Amino acid sequence: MSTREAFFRRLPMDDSERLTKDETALRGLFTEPNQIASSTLVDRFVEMATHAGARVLRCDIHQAASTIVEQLGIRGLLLYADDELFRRLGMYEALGRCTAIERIVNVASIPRGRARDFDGANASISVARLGIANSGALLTGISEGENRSVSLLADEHIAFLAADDIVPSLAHAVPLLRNTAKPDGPSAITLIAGPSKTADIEKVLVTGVHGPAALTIVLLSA
Amino acid sequence: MKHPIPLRPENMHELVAERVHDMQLRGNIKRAVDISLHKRADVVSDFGDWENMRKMAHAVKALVIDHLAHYLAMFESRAVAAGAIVHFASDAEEARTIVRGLIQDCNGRLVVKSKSMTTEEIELTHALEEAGITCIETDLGEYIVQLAGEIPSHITAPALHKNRREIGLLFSEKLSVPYTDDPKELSNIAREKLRAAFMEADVGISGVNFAIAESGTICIVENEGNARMSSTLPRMHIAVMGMEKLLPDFESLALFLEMLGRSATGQRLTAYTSLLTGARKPEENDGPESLHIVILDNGRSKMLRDPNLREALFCIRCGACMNVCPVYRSIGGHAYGSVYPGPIGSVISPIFHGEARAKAMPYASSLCGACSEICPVGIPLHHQLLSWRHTLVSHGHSRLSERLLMRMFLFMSKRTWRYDLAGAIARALAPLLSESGVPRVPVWSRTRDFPRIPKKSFKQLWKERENEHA
Repeated sequence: MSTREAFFRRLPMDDSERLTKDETALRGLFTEPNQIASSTLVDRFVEMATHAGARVLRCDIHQAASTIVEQLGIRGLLLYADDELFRRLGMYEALGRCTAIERIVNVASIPRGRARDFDGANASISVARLGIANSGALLTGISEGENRSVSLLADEHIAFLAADDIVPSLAHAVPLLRNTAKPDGPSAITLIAGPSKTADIEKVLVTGVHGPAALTIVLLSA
Repeated sequence: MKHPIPLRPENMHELVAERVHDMQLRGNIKRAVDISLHKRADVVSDFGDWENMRKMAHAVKALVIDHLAHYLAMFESRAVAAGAIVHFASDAEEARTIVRGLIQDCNGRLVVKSKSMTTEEIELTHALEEAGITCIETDLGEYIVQLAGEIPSHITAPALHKNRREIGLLFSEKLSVPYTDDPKELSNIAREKLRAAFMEADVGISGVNFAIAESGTICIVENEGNARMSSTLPRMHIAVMGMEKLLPDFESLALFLEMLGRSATGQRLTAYTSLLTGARKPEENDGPESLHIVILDNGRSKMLRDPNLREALFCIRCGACMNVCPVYRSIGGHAYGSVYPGPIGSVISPIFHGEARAKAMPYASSLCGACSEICPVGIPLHHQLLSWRHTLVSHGHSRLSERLLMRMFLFMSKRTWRYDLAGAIARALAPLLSESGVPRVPVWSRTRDFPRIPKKSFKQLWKERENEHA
């Protein structure tokens, strides 16, 4: 008998009739998540993201590129150059004009398995797919070409989020998660709420223990 | 010597005696858990229907545990479809063998580990070190505990028993860095040391907070980013999970994520929640080449069949029960001698360590019920502790003196006249037992005052009262 068989033999036999009944009963407990007016939604998101330690810059979509170049002390930058939003925002032109930036790494140009190569970049930019208002979290890892390390290795992570993509709570993100977490979907989807933090020493909050010490959310209004 | 008494559950009485008068330790613990509790109270009030959420969470877990074979098989097939490799381990030894084999097969020398209670439970790090594999804990608290050669004293805040001065001394001694007790500077030292390890490591090991049956996804919750690092940078990732970690679907995951961070640390959501579905996909340029998921029984199927223990499998390891426990708050996690301390630890440790070794643990509770009241998934912890005491006694894990006394009490209580007579004898003898008239019981009286024995019995007083009113 294989370990697997032995493992399952120790569990009670499956009763499919009871399972259907129990599953239906449980589904009855889950109600449709409440909707919130979109005006308060954005304010709530900003409040919660700030509470989680993120800095939120609200700007018009046309100012996005110049805003981050002006406001952030970027020397080395990591991004996915083919992102449609970045192209639309004119990010490359704006970044190209900025002499302070010494090095721009396109995520797409990094060969398979060489993610560690861009450990030197002090800032990274990615596009968040959703914002969760009741926790200030960003849903990342879904955008085309985005990889896991972009939002992880740099000292500062800058995430673009369209104000239209804010939902009230995690329950509202369920359909998207269900559609994305599939065999051919991304191997990692990450919810990010604020910068990397720890309170392991006397419960004193310290940011940037392993991941980025700062998270800036550039909130784009259409 | 910091720990002259080995941290094992069979040493609980000695471990408690060593700590119970340590006011420094008690201060460290109380300060830390009170912060968590205050923050928790703030964010739980986000929801008007927290109690309803607890009921739903309880119902979700009941469904999964009642039909565990079904959901495990579903999880397995979906995870495999997404490119993960699933292993089943009946006990700690099997799990260690699987993990060790995986690392040796890929010639792994350096392992980065993110915080996981399940790997503590199976003493994985020790087994790997014995096989010549360097295994570095990367969660700051776990790193501190590993440097000190200890085990975690709290399931979400492993180094909670240490203050900054103690940690500063530890770092300067073990890492040869100048002494500092500034938490920010200490964290930076750890960041630098560990970032190098992440870049070099062959294998990453983590636990699993939730496993989603519908998609074969594992969910890892953390604040530091070390779990993301160890599941992203090394070429192989191994996730070890207890088989009870399953959730049916994403609706349940959304509910549990809202509750876990709030209950554990008073956060609405922890900084990072990773949802990992399979290994690196062909079009991706980072992530591990292989993802192994080791599903562990190690006594859990025994708990599942025991109606008194079944609900302990609902636990999401938030640690709220220890934060509120008056016993935990006085003695700290190490005094239990088990990697799982506090109320939930006292319920599950006798399964993992054996009844004989952990028999003291279910008694480390005042049965006040604060644990059951705060538990986000509604585990009746204090009832389970009481039921353990019953089991332990019926399995012969009690002292002869205790059994004799209970026999005597039973004999005495069976007839009213015997009870009255015994009471009368006790009242007559009490003043003779000591000068003050307060009886002393060996050991027990060392830390407690025996109640003064009244002159008249309750029955007598009641009768007199009735007569007065008549």
